[in-house]
Formats: sequence, structure tokens, C-alpha cells
Amino acid sequence: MKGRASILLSLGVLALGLVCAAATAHAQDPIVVGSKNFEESRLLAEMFAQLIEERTGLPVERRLNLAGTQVCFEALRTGAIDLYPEYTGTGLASILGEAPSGDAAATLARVRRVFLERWDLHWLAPLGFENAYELAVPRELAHREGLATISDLVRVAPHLDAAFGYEFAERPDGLPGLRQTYGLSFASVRRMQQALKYRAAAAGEAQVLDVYTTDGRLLTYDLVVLDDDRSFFPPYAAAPLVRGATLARHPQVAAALSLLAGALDEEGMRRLNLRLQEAGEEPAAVARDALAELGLVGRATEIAPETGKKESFAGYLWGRRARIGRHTLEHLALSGAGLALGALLAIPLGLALERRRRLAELVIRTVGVTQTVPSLALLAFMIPLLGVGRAPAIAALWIYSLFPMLRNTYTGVANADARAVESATALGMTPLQVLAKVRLPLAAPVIMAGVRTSAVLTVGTATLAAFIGAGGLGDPIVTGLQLADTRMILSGAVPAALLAIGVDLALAGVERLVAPRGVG
Amino acid sequence: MILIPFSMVRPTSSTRTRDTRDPALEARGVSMRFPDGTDALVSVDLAIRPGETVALVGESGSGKTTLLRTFNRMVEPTGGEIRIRGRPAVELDPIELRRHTGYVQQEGGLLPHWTVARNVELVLRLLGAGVGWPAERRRERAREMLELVGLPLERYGGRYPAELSGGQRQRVAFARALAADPEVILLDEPFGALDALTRLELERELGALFRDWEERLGKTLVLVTHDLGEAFRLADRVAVMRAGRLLRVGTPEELSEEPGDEYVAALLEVGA
Repeated sequence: MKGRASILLSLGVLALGLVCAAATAHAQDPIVVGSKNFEESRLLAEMFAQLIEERTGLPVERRLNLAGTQVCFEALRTGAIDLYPEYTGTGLASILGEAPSGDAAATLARVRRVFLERWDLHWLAPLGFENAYELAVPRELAHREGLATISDLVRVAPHLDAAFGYEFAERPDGLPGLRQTYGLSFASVRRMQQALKYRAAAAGEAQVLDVYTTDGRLLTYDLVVLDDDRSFFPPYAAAPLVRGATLARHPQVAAALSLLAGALDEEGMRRLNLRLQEAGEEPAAVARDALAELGLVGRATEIAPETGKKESFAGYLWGRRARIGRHTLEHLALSGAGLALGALLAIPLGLALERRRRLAELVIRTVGVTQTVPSLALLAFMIPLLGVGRAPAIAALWIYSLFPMLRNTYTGVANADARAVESATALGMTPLQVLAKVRLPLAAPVIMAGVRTSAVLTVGTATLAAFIGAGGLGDPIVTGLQLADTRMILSGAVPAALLAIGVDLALAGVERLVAPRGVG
Repeated sequence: MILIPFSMVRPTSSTRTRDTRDPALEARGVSMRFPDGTDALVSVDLAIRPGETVALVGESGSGKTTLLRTFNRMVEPTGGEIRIRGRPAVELDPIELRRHTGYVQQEGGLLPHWTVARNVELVLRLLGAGVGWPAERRRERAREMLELVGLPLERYGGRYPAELSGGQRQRVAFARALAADPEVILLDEPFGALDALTRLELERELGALFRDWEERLGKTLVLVTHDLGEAFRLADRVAVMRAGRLLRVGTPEELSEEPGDEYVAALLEVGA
């Protein structure tokens, strides 16, 4: 046996650690562009990124798909990203928590002043279009009930089912404020993804939804937008929101982005959004086209790959193989790093607790509490501490991986063959020798089983890392959820499941290797 | 319970010269109270001469195993003193003490992930090459010891404990206890958990072996057993314990002729 178990364990941990180090190594100081997890935000971020690359030559890193305003803003404030597209109304109502008031110019002036004073964040020149929240109803219903304004809706709303986005349902400039201002109440309110709301409306399962002015789907679904006759919704002018520190270091970034000032309108945005929403095109390709149309960059030389929905799933996966491969590697790096760091803490801690049995119960229970925190919440907790991207994701996965390994290590060494332990002690092994030569080798299979459990858990949880911009196989899942594109979801979910199975099988092999001969 | 024909009671070595050296092991007013308040030992006095075999007899909970474990400091008494060759045990390094004290427990306690040969070499490995146990000598010693307990190294040395019978495992445990040539050997129900036939066979063979060791090499043995017959067959003196107290110590003859205590008398009646 000769400590083979411990050597293999430490080698494995080391290898995983290296993967982690390689994965988290940063390129030299790129401009980091973020976006929220919906199409228009991704598209604008991609346009910003390409424009900066084209006009300044600075390296740009993309952190798209961050989970909502809060995550994006925290990431910007803490310096995890340098800029992202934001809307003035959102800045006023959601971030500053102020009551919507005044026109577009007043709103812009207000957020500019406060953001600068409080956080040294700069609202650059608006892009020229507004993307406000609005309420929409099916055309047929509007005609039948004579609905033109939100005030008209109040009368019939108690008989209608509403479908609202998660953010809208919570934001002060969303449903809560709307209820107060108009006295609206619905038969039911369901919260769902943007794309699913349209499907629900088309299927007759929801009659009222929140929409964005520039939502491309307004062009294809037969909906009527109701007039906000009490001017509840603040103006939502889109603009780049940038860190002052970034502008000071790279003034050319502001110059490049100013080329987009006033360059876009609602109608144009709707068409661009539609290409993402319904045709399933890539933000990078659509952004390239849009910038080329504005004469800001040259036409893309390559033809965007045909993504018609008729090709087979296998063909679809084949077409995305490079991307799936990259996401898989990211995914492995994230989970591997989290697991390796977890093993580095959990296994030695489990061994140490064997000598402090009264403390062990308390420590293991405390660590067990981490398992009860929802994964997404844990990821969100990491943002104020570590920003967005890989570091907070790895930290969260690290915390998640601890419990199974800790519990199994402790149980394994504590319950190792009592008579063998007794005689080894009685014949003169030191406590450390008993641990290293008797308890650890006998516990090795139990410890490895814990590592396996943690590994599968970590690979699964890592799909959520995409919500805080860490990439991985969660990326197509999150995007696919936004677009209600099942194939895109599967292109992340299937490899993630296969990865979990593969990791489990591989570690089962290691488990057999470390199992001491003569036992079991 | 096995009936003991008197012919099987071993003759005491009354011819043996009285030993004036310090006792090999000595308990002086030893008490042991566990943290939960139960008394495992109450003021036990017992001196074991070098070269003597003493059996500690009593039912479970009588304190016999606890007393045995004070002799290699696996248990630290809460009162009184253990002396080893005249020196207070607390002055000895427990690890060193244990490496030089043989120990056999019920069911052997072999390391299941080590081969038979490696198990036998355990203490030699702990002592290390530095004090005269390089690998070749260890293996040679393991061969001798296994030969002694009737398990040729060539055939059994490479096996794992799980591949042996219960009796064979116990033989390996004896070989392991003897390998470093300790002067004192502690035996905790060494034939317990074996079927009756194996038990008798092992007792006869290893008993003879021990007698040989004891008489030829002057080893001191302490045997814990709940089997009075076994104690009478193997020991020079028998110490009867009950509820943490030492009731009576004497040769089998002395005990048979004059139990001196109701419990001991009752025990003898049941046992013999």
C-alpha cells in the first residue's frame, strides 16, 4: 500500500489546482464589457466591444449574460467589468431607488450627476433610442374591450391573467409602482422568461404582458401596446455606463463609444433584436452588421453560419462544436478549480477533526448548512466580495464542494477498523502514524466516494456560473432560456450531463485504484 | 465452560528460584474512574514477577482488560501508580514502552490492508533500520516468527488477513507480538472469538510455545480471559477480579484449595 492512496489523492488535487490556475490567469488588462441576460443588452455590449476593438486596438473581454441589473451594476461598481449598456430609467428607479419623474433629459441629468458623485460612474451620450417598459395585450382583446390606455385596462384586469418578467415583477418602476399608480390588480400574475411570455400570450394563457419598446417580437406577435396615460414609466434612454477609472486610463474608449451617440432608433433596434430573438443569430454577427450599416466598421468578411431551424439536432451540435468545446473546457476548469480547492480544505480538515471528535459534529453540521443555500443565491453573495466572472464562481463552487468531502473524510477515518487501530496504537504507532498508515489508507475509498459526490455536484452547479459571467456550459443554457430555444439549452445541458457522468466514471476508477488491497 | 481435569492444571514452578529483582509489572493502589463516573478499577495492588504468567480472570466489566491496558499506558489510571521494572510508568515514553511490549487482542487486530509478513514486521518497521532492523533482517525475523506459529512465510507471507481463517489470523497476531522480542507480552482474550475446537488447538500449541518462551527466555505474560479453565491451564498465578477490585491472587492450587472468597468459590464451582 505504502501511502499510495495519499500520493494519488495529492497528485489529483495538484493537477486540478494547475487547471484552475491556468484557467484564472488573466490576459494583460483588457477592457471588460458586461451585459445583462437579455438580447438587446448582449447586442449593445457586443457593439461596444467590437467598436472598442476596431477603433482603439485595446484587448476586450466580454462578460455577457450577467443575471440582471443588480449583478451588472455591482460588477461595474466593484471593477469586475469596465462598462455595460444601461437605461437611464433603470438607473433612476432600480439603482437609485428614486421615484420616476421628469422627462428624458431630466432623468439623464439626474442619473449622470448622482452616479458621478457616488461612484465615479459615467453615463456617456445616449444611443438615440428608448427602451421603455410597456404593457401589451392581444389585439383581439383590445378591440373587444376597447383598450387603448393602461387606465382602460384597470376595469377588466381582475378577469385577466398576466405574465411578467422576473425583474419587472419586482422593480419599483415595474409592477409594484404600476399597481400603486393605476390601482391595477389581475386575476393571476405569473413570472416567466421574456420569450415564454410571448408564447403564453399566443397560446391564450396570458392576456397582459410587460414588453420592451424595442422588443423585436412586437413585430411578429399580434399585440397592442397600451398608452401609459399617467406617465408612470420613466424614460429609458440606452447609454453606455462606464467606470471613471477606465475613462481616465483609456480616454479613447469614450471617443470610440461616442460614435454611437444618437445613432440608433427604436424601429432599427426592433429589427436587430428580432434577428436575435426569432432567427437565433449570434449577437456578434448582428452587432457587426449593425456597425457596418452605420459605417463604423467594415463588413464582416465571413458569412455568418446558417442557423436555420430545420437542420437536425446533431447537425446543430456539430455546427457549434468549437463553441461547445470551449464551454466544456471552461466548465471543467471552473468545476476542477472549485473541487481542488475544496479538497485542499475538506480532506485535511476531516483528518484533523478525527482527533477532535467533539468539535467534529459541530464543524460538519456548520459546513452542511452551505448545502442548504440555493446555488444561485450563493453565487449572488459572492459578487460584492469578488465581483463577477470566474473568481466568485470558483469561490461558490469551492464552498459547495466542501461538505461531501469533509463528511466522508471524517466518517472514513473515524470509523476505520477499530481493532486494527487499537492494535496499531498498542504496538507503538504514534497518533500520526495511525492516521497516515492505518486510518487514511483504510478510509481512502470512502474519501474518494466523497470526492466523487462533490465532483458531480460541482459539475452540475457550475452550469449556474454563467449567471455571473463565468462562462461554461451554463452559457448556452442561460441564453437558450432567454430565447426559449430548446436546442440551445440542450447544447449546454447535454454536454454538462455527459461531463458529470464522465467525471463520475473517471473518479470511480481512481476510487478502485486507491482502495487498499485485502479490504472489501 | 470447559471442564478441567486436575491433571491438566500445570505444575507450578515452585522449584524456580524466588526472584528478588523488581517486579516486571506492578500496580500500586491503581484506580480508574472514567469521566462518566464509573469506576473501572478500585485500588488494585498486583506485582507480577519477571518470567511469570499471570491470568486476570473475571466477567465482563470486572476491570481485567482495563488493568491490562494500564501496563502499556493505553489507559492512564486516575489514582495510584503503575511501575514497570521498578520505574513509574509515567516516566516512560508511552510510544517506546508499547514498542517493547507485546500485545495480542481478540480477533488479532491485524491491519487488513497489510500482508501477513508486513503485519508481523509492524513493530520492527516502527523501530526502524536505525536500531538494527534493515529490510532483510526484518523479513528473516518474520520468517522465523511465522515458522514458530506454524505458518510458513512462503505460503502465507503474501496473503492478506481476510484470506486467512480466524485461527490463522490469531497465529499471525502472536507472531507479530513476539517479533521484536519484548520482555512483557500482554494478551487480551487471545483465544476469544474462535470456535471451540480451534480455540483448544491454538491454546495447546501456543500455550506450549509460551511456556517455552517463559521458561527459556524469561518472558513475562499477562493474560486476560473470562475462561477460568484457560487461566488454570496457562498461568502460574490467577488473579480474580470483580467490579474493579482484585479479589484474590494465587496459584491454581491455592485457589482450588482455599478460595478465600465466596465469589471465587462460586466461580471455581462453575468452572471446575
